[in-house]
Amino acid sequence: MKADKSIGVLLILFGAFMYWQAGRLPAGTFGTGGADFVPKIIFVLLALSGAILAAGAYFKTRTPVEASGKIQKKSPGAAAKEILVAHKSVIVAFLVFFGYVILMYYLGYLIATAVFMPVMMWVLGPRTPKSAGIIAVVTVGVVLGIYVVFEKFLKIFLPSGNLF
Amino acid sequence: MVELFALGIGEVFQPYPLILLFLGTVAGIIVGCLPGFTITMGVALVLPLTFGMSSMQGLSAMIGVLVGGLAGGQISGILLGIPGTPSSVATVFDGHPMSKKGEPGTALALGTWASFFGGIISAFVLMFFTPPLADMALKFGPWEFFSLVFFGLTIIASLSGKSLIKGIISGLLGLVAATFGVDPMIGIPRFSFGVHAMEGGFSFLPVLIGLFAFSQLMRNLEKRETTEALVIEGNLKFSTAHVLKTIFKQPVNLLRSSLIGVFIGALPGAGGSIANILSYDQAVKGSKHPEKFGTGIPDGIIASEAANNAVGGGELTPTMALGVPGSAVSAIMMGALILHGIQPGPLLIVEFPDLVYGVFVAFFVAHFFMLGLQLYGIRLFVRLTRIPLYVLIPSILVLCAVGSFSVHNRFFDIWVLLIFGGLGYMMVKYKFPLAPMILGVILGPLAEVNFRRALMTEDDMALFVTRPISLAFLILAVLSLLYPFYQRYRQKRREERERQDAVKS
Repeated sequence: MKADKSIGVLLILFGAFMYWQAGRLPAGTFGTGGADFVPKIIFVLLALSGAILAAGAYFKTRTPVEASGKIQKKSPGAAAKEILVAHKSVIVAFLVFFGYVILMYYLGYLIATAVFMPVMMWVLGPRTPKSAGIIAVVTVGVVLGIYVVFEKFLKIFLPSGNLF
Repeated sequence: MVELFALGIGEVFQPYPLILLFLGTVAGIIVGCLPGFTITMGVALVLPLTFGMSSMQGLSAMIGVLVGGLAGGQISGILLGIPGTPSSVATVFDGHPMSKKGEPGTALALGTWASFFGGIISAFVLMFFTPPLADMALKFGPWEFFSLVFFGLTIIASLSGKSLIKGIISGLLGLVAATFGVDPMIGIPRFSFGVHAMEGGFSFLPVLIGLFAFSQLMRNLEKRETTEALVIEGNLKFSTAHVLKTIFKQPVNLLRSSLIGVFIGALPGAGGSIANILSYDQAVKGSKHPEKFGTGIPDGIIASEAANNAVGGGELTPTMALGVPGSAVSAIMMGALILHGIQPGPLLIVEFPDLVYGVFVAFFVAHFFMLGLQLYGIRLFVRLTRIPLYVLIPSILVLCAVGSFSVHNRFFDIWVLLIFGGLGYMMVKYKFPLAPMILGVILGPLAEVNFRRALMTEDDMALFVTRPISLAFLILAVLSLLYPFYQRYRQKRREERERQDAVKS
């Protein structure tokens, strides 16, 4: 798998970077090993595992045809477009949720959720008069249901928003 | 033991824990019967709701979800032919054909009763094996504990995915996540990168919800098929006498499958998804009519469902006795205890016998709730499988955000949810199992504390291999790492043999 090679390399780089970061931690005051001791072991193991993953993927995919370089490669632009099309709904949902989190940061749970729920359902669901009714009912139910259960029943606070 | 059991009964048989156990079981069945929604996700989403409760009440709700979820997977498996959870894959082999033959009610009742008996058998194992196991573990020093945790991590890495190296990387990423935050021994903040909110590290809950709930929802978006058209509209009626007679005619199948479930459940990493297939396979091998399997016979349903609910008791045993979880679900329960200020481990049963025996009792009672709910509320749950994803996904996403925030009332945790949700989605996309990662997050600090404590007690690494119990765990860890290679070797040999047989014939 081509992706495994890239993931392996990423893990090596990440492991090396974090090892360097661990080296900047102050050493312990007593006993063997300070705060950096165990993290360093983990980062070395992670980088090693990344190397094994990348090497495994490299030797697995080097078929004679590949080695000869005769395989037609897609341009990076075409490959990116293919990924975007295949994961359109996931990317859109992720972005809408991202927007929801920002909205919640400023406006709090109630307003942000009252906006997020219909938008997300509208993005994901069918756009018919019947579904509009469902969207309205579900939005009110979820916004108020979660508010009552958390704030009133369990006494757990919900984000109130930085603007208020 | 009777006194302690009575103590547990006193803890559970109060209005609030009982209601929560019941609601948890309902939630578990719902999560179980919705294809694409996992038990781990259900337990993760219930966890934030437990903050306002006592630890017993919170654990009751989560045990309800576990038991309900393990049994609920059969509903969509039998009626739709799509297992609701990986624990019910083998139930589909005979459950769906029986359903197609016009007996969906009987198939569901068989599965439910088999789940009930499997669960009750495992509850007895949980009750009788936890105390002596914890007693034995009380003699462990930090060397043994480190080796035990190391074994737990290696076995889950080697069993939970197709690729050993990807399992190991997933576990290591969990350990990496656990290194962020305050050093557990000397209190120095690690890897905060100048961000104040990072000094405390990543909270367990948003990491968990991100990995198991958020990423799962994103995956569900990829395959947004409606299941409505697939539901078999048949006669949901059944005769309890006939069903019980059928089950009791197969005591060996029932007992063998339940014990397989308990054993597999107790092994870290090897949960319901393996147990139901293994016990189905054993039922085929032990049957006088193996050719009938897959055509809709009760034997297959009994084997799969008894094993999958028995997993519950099996996986709770090492969690309650040793503080080493057997699966992602029990890891979450362990995390819930930690969030409530209770440190899991062998001392748990000594310090909180009411809680431990309360868990045993709750596990028993949840099976009775599950039985009643699934036998008599089946129509309602079938209807739930028709709720469109465009309604479910946004609602659960809101719950994810709110649940993550509620741990410390910190907005930073919602960003953690988003980061780990994205990471979890990518990991599954590239075939990295998620269970080792969450165990890494949970067991990382435990491994580190015991490792460093051992070195502080005696600055001699050799003690890890000269102390017999520690050595035994380390040998098991090495064997568990070698096991996938052995499996691959066996598979190659089998394929070779089959090829030779084909050439000969």
